[in-house]
Amino acid sequence: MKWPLLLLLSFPVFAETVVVGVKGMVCSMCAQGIKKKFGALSAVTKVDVDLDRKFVTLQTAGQVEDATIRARIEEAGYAVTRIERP
Amino acid sequence: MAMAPRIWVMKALFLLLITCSALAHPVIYQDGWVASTMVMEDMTDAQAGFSFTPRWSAGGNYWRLRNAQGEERELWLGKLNHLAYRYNGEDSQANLYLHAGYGDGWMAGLEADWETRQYFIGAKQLHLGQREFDTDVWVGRVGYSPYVAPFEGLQSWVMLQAWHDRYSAAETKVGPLVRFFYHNVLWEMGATFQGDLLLTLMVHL
Repeated sequence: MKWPLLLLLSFPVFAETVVVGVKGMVCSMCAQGIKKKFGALSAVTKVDVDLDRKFVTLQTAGQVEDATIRARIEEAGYAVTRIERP
Repeated sequence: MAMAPRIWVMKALFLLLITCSALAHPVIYQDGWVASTMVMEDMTDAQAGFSFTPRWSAGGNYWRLRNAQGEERELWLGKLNHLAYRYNGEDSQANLYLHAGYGDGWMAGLEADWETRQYFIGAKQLHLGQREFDTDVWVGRVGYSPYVAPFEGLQSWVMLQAWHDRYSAAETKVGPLVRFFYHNVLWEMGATFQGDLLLTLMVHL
């Protein structure tokens, strides 16, 4: 009877997808910094940068605060336009 | 005399391995390293720097300049770069950088660029000096990318560069080059209409 409970607890509690709108991403080489900044966060499991649609998609295995997301984008040299959790 | 070109090439390759400078990217993302070098027959500009904030980077800069009489000047400088202004637009970005360096000489300058995913324009003005020597270097570039590459793709540019260095030559050297970047590596190959070759390598780490 304990197995279903253990299985449930093994999934990340705050796993979510975060879509971040970013201004200024015109150079793919420079935008590599965004992947690097978020890659350093243990809660972020995947980073996708879409230059055409001007947003970054984060897959997380834990809660990542909006302030942390804004700080990382600004450290990479860009500006945040929106943060959505669809 | 036959050894001179080989020594020059070996020096350039050595500097390619340890350093990096093309127009733009003197300050990158916080905690990022950038190394670059631009080599022409009469000039080498090699830099390595660390961006300790998104606005400031510090590092080293090596310059080699050769004049029409074959006399060479070398400068080894500690360098500070400041991103004084950045415009992040929907489809474009513009930057203004300030540079200052000091070592066995000195340098000061500014650099500005504006780019979209398909168009680039940039210019750099530097003053370099040493005891009994000083010069001004001016670089201007326009570029066009024939296609828009995805984030993980190879980006290609065709550029036209104008270069003027008061010490090396009285005339302005103009010529085309191609620029590529893929992930964190940028490289350029080109030539001036006067016949000088140009090579650039840049790496973000």
